[in-house]
Parts: sequence; C-alpha cells; structure tokens
Amino acid sequence: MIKLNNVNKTYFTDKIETIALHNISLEVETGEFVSIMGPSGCGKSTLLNIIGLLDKPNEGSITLEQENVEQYKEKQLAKIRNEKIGFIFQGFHLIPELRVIDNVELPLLYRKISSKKRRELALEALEKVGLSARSHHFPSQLSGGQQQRVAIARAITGKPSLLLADEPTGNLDSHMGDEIMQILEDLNKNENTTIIMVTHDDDEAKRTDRLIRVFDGQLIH
Amino acid sequence: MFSHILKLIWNRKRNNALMITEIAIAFIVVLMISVLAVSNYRNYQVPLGYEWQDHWQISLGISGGWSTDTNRETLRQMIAALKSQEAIDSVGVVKEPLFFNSVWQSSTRSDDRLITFNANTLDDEAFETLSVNFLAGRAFDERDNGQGYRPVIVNQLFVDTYFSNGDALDKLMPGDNANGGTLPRKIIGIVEEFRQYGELAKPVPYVISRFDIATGHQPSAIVIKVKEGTDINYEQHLSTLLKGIAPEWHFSFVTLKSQRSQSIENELTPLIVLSIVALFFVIMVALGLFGVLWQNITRRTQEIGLRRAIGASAMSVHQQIIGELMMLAAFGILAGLVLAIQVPLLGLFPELDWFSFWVSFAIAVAVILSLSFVCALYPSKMATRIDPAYALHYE
Repeated sequence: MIKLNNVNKTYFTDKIETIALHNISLEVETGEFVSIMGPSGCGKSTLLNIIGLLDKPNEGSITLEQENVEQYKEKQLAKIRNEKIGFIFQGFHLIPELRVIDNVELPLLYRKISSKKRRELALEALEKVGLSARSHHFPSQLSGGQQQRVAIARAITGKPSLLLADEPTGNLDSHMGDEIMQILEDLNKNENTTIIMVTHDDDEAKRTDRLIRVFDGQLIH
Repeated sequence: MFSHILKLIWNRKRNNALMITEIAIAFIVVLMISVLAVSNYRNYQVPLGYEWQDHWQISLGISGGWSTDTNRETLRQMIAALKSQEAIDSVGVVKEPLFFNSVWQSSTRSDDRLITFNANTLDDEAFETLSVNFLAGRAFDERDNGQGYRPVIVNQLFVDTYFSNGDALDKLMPGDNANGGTLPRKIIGIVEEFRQYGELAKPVPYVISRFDIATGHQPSAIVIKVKEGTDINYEQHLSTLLKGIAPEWHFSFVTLKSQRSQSIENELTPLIVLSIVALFFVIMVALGLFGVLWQNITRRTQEIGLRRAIGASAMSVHQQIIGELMMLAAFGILAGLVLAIQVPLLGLFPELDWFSFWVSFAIAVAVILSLSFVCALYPSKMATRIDPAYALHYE
C-alpha cells in the first residue's frame, strides 16, 4: 500500500537545524490498521504528513500503491490526496459556516462529479458514521464526538484506500473516543481501508494490527 | 464550486456585510461618474447644427430700454455698418446668445397635447451667418412678411418628439399671446440641430422664431462671421465703430471658439473634480477590500490548509479566493443597482436616459469587478502559499 524508504526530514531555520525524521523505512500493507506512538515532538505528525503527501522528505522515497510520488508536482500530489487519502485530525477542522452535509461533500468538490452524485456520496458516508439525521446541522450544534464522526465521514466520502488519523480521539472523552475507534475498526474490517493512526493511548494502539513506535525521529523496533 | 462559494458567502453574511456595503457604495459612485461621462459623450456625438470656427459674438448692453424706436434704429445702423466691413462676411442677430446657459423655455397646447420646447429668436441673416444645416424647408425671408402665420423653424428632435409620422413641414401650431399675438405658428423649416448651449448639453426640442427689429423682443447678441485669419485685434476696430454709432451702449466681444471652449470647460470641470474625489474614494475602498481579504486569509489559515490537504490544488485555492471576492462584488453591485435604478425609474435626473444608464452600468460593473479582481490577486496568491502541514496545526 505505502512504502517509505530511508526517509529523512530536517527543518532549517536561520540558526537551528532540527532533525524530525531520520532514516525511516516503513511498509504498510493494504487493509492494515497501524498505530504510531511516541512522545510529543518525536516526529509522529511529521511522519504522518509525509505519508499523507502534505510534506516532502529531504531524502528518501515514498511509494503509494506502486506509484513513486517523489517527483510529483503539487497538482499531482493534490489529486492523489483527494482520491486515495482521507485525513482525520484531532481538532476535527470542520468549516463552521457550512452544514454537516456540505462539510462532508468538501473533498468531492475537487473532483469532476455532479452535485447530485456528491450529495449521494456524502449521505452515504454520513450513514456509515450514523449521522445522516444531522446532515443539515451546523458543526456548532453537534457534540465533540459527533463532530469527529462528521470529520470521518468527510475523510471517507471520496472512498479513499488510505485513512490517516492524527490523534482522532485526542479531544474526546473515553466514551466518545471508543465510538470513534469502533467506526475506524469497522471501516478497516468492512471496507478493507488501510488506516494509519497516531495515538497517545495504549488501549487504542492495542486495538490496531500493528504498533510503530517513534523516538527522536527514528523507528524503534 | 459556484454554489459552494455562494453558500460560504451567504453563511458568512454578517462578516461580509461591511465589504458588500463598501462595494455597493463604490459601485454607486463609479456609476454616477460613468453616467455623467456617458451622457456627456453621447451629447458630444450629436451635431451642433451650426458653425463656430470663424464667428464672433457681440453681446449688447442696450441703454435706455429696447422699446424706443431710437434703439431699434441704432441696431439697424450697427448691422449695416458691420455688413459694410471687408473682414466681415455676414451678420445675424440672436435673442439668446450661443454657448451660454441662457434658457428660454416655452410651451403650447395642440390637440390637447402639451408641447414643450426651448426657444430662441433669430433674424433672417443669422442662419446664413451660422451656416445652419437645414434638413427641409428654408430660413426666414421676405415670403414670410405679412402672412397670417408666424414662421418658425424647428430642430429634427422636435419633429421626432411631437410628430410621430415625421411630417412636420408646413404644419401649424397654436400661437401664443406673448409673441406675435394669436397668430398660429407655421413650421417653414427643419434644421438638423441648433444646440444653443453647446455640445455637452442634452439635445432638446427647439423652436426658432423670426426676429424682426421693428417688433421683436430685445436681442442679446449680434453674431458675425469674419474672414478666415481675422485676429482678435480686430475687436478694437469694431468696438470703436459700434461705439461711434451707439455711445451709450455696452459691447463685449467673444469668439465663438473661445466661448465654446469655456462652455465645455464649465461642463467638464465638475465632472473632473467629482472623478478625482471618486478615484480617491475607490482607492480607499480597494485598500479596505485588500486589507479585509488579507485578514480573512489569515483567519482562514486552517480552512485553507484543510482544503489543500483534502485535494485542493494551489490553483483551486487561488480561484476560490478570487471567486469569493468576485461574488461579494456581485452582491455589492446588486445592492447598489437596487438603489441606483431608482434614479431613472423615478425620473430624478431628467438628463439621464435608459441607454446611458445601462451603458454606465456596464462600465461601473467592469470597473468594480476589475478592482475586486486586482484586490484579490495578492491575498489569493498568499493563500496558495499556506503550507497545509503547518496550517492544520495552526492555532
């Protein structure tokens, strides 16, 4: 599904050079549910950003579904993100002025499909997360757990093969967090969606197929 | 994407209200200037109807009242003296001077219809002196003496306005007691135009009556056509000549060329001043839009980062930001139009016709949309530089 080979990422400022990732090699198979753990600032989010093609490594290669994306231009990367990758964030990142259904439709706006088809796909995604009844609410009218479910619906509405979740339960209580984990597990099992999730929670990590630990920008085996 | 932007704008209507108001006011200001400019341009395109290049206008300050036979005889002598000058080709008399805003409005009722027009009185020679362009009929001459009608000459616009079949020549209109008693007016000639107030004034239906020294009202000017190359120094000679005939009268000389320039300047100066004020205002609005948009981009860093993450290319973001401002501009224009259209609808500005309004509307729309586009260019470019990986962790 995705393969990272000797990936290095260093951030440069005027005076400081910060090594975020060092010689990371990693392979995730299709249908796997992988969790990434590590202390704050160890490079988890950087790793997720590189896997999600939001950031480029200084060195190393990335292969996504047998495509080497290293030399891809910005527009090609945007297309891959749109069609193959779904993102779930700790802070939900819903657009407050848009209704739930419009938030879920957002990734489909960047595809050439009719508004009718967009609506169908968005409703289907909301159905999967159990929120079709709230499609015309605004995000502020929903609880934190419901907002995260909307964010998941948004991530899966384009039927991506890879879901990247950056601490998806980080802002939720344990009950709501459990609901979110259940949805992710269902997506993984029923839809065969590959999921890579950053988490701080050991219990959540144990529910995944594989745990990857990161420390000081390196993988710990 | 269009409906998406529309939703965003609508759902952010409170935040956008100020921007829409600013755009609406700027639109109205630009529309107002455009209306004035377009009206002036359209007026300028209409023929003047007479020549002015080698003509002088001598304003008459008649002493002791016009009604006296002495003054009427004095005027006869002055005209004869002027005609005898080698440098003068022809001489005419006008009641209302040319390129002055001296307006004589009149009206009459015919077949229960009110006919209103602007009027003037010219003597028989004035038409030749000014090379007035006749479309039909003729100028006043001896054939009009002692007739049972009062001859008048009208412009084509008068015919178009009051004679739907276009057949006006030799037609009679009721007279009025003030001028020529109750004798009916007979249209003996139709001129292309006679734009007494100059090229920038709105053309109006115009009726010219015959000036007769013996019975006519007090004239205000003599118009002379001088030979080509006669310079203004000749004024002194003429002044001496006329003062010799009428020492009590006052004369002021002006070339129609300079009077025309003055008339154009008088019309254009307020427009230029207004345009400069409007330009400053529009620049202020543009800076305001630019600032608000810049602030919006900063406020929406996370949203833009999210859009980039879920598949929006830099170009999509660029287009969206420009699209949003263009749509705000469209709302502003719509709001401005609702207010501005009341002016022609209610006839608040009689000079304004619908054609000029819609042409000006198109110009104002183009100006406001272009301005909005330019204002959106840099902030939208800035939005494309937002790094999604950074923006999604931006607080």
